Amino acid sequence: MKDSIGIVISNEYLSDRYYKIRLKCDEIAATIKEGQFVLFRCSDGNDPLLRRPFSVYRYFPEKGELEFAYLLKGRGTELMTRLKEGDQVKILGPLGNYFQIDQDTKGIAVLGRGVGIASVAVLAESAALEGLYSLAVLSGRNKESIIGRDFLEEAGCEVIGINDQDQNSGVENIRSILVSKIKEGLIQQLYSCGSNRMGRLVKELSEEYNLDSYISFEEYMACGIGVCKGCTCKTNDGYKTVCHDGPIFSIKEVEL
Amino acid sequence: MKPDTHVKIGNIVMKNPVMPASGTFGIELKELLDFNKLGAMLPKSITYKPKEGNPPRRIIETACGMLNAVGIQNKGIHYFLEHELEEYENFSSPLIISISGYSTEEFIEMVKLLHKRESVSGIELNISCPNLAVGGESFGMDPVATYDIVRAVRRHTDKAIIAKLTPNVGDITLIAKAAQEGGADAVSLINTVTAMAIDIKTRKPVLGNVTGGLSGPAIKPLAVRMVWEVANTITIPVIGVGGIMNANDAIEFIIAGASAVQVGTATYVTPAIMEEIITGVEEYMITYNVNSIEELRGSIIFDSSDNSCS
Repeated sequence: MKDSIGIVISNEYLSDRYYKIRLKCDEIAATIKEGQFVLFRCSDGNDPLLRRPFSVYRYFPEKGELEFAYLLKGRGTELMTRLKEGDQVKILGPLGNYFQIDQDTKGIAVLGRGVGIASVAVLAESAALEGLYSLAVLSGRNKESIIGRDFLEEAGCEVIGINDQDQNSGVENIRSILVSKIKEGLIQQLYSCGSNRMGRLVKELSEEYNLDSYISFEEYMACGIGVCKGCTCKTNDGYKTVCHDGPIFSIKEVEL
Repeated sequence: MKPDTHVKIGNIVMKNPVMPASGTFGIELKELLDFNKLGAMLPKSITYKPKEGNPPRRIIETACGMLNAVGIQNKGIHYFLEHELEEYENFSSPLIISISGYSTEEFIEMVKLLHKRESVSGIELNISCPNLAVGGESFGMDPVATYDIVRAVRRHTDKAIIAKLTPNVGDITLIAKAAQEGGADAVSLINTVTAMAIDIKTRKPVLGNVTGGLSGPAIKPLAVRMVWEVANTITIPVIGVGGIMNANDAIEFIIAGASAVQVGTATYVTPAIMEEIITGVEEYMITYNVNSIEELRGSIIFDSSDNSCS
């Protein structure tokens, strides 16, 4: 964990309300793992005051580079869209725990909804590159809000995009997709981010088929390192911090 | 020559006037901040029994500030003494423990336990946290209750006792006087300002606890005014806190009358900000030829020739 400086390599509009920023930051790129995040200082002034958390979207340790996909949502992200090549930004990271895949797992499915895709996409990519079966179920409000399809397919993932406009993003559709893959023996673990509805589905399926599954939470944060106890979620063991105990929790331990 | 930045709070000698504000400092920061450089260490408030804290959502950013309603989530003083205290013992800076309680008895029990620990230099009484439904607030909002609680714990320790004062009162100088008369070695002010935010789409309060405490640069002028008023009223040291983001802010509090400062929300923005503030205060002292913090403290100048009404 370092409070570091990232140099903007590119900052581009993706689609819908999504953007992607690429930074050069050797020390964080060298140590960050799938599912971890950084706190990003969006401005030097007092408004917006707090840093914003972003999960790593892709990382390239050999180049010392990182990518973050972000949703234009408020003042902080609006300022981020203005960053240009060569600009310097303060980033604190890597923070939180990371996704792990069990040794005997032959295949995984990630479920991402909206900007939650940005947290799980890198796991699907890594799994595929390691030769595992990797299914990415990506959900959004419309076709344009499905990000990451290009590099996931290139890595060898099976990508299923679903969206509200096409009315195929309902839980029952996701369930039938997953159940058939689970029954075929392709998937032993599920990973989800961005939707409590999908999280509850993951919980049900994991109980039904005895899968070791995980959920990554998105929360408003202040310190990002477990000091302030501002970002909590309810678990079987009381409140836990999303930033420090998470952001990834076993689906068994969380209340959704 | 290096200026003399040391300050005394009760029998604690701090090498510089900068310490964390309660609630914003924990062992997790040690990778990002050199604890040995701090004037003092001051971890999050602890309570006698474990406390689960408030339901989410607990924080929200507001203009130049943030609202929190964490509710002192902690594992209780016994867990702290057994598992957490030793981590701070690895550092040389004086350690001040912030405590909060539901009753006088709980405060006394905690002070007795802390008194036995050599590594604890001082105790800050959080009698002003606005997040507890019971306890906390009632002491710090009433001069008599403040006097009584300070006096009750004073009997049980000669370690430095600091009363942390809430700004959510009519006249904070009355509370400060009561703390001094009760035997406090210092007062720290201000704690957060009770505030709230409403989501206009759902029409629900944003915080799970409905109201919370406002901190950050938004409250700094309010804090400076109150520190100035209190420093003019009492003789024990005042520790200034509220929206300090940089060395200039810290210096402003000292000129208003503070002997030392606490830094809170700024640490969330820049984890090592206290190191920068310590260096910045020193640089200011050199630039303005100030020999000691004591010389700077309360040095506010009222120019009688300036009669403008701006």
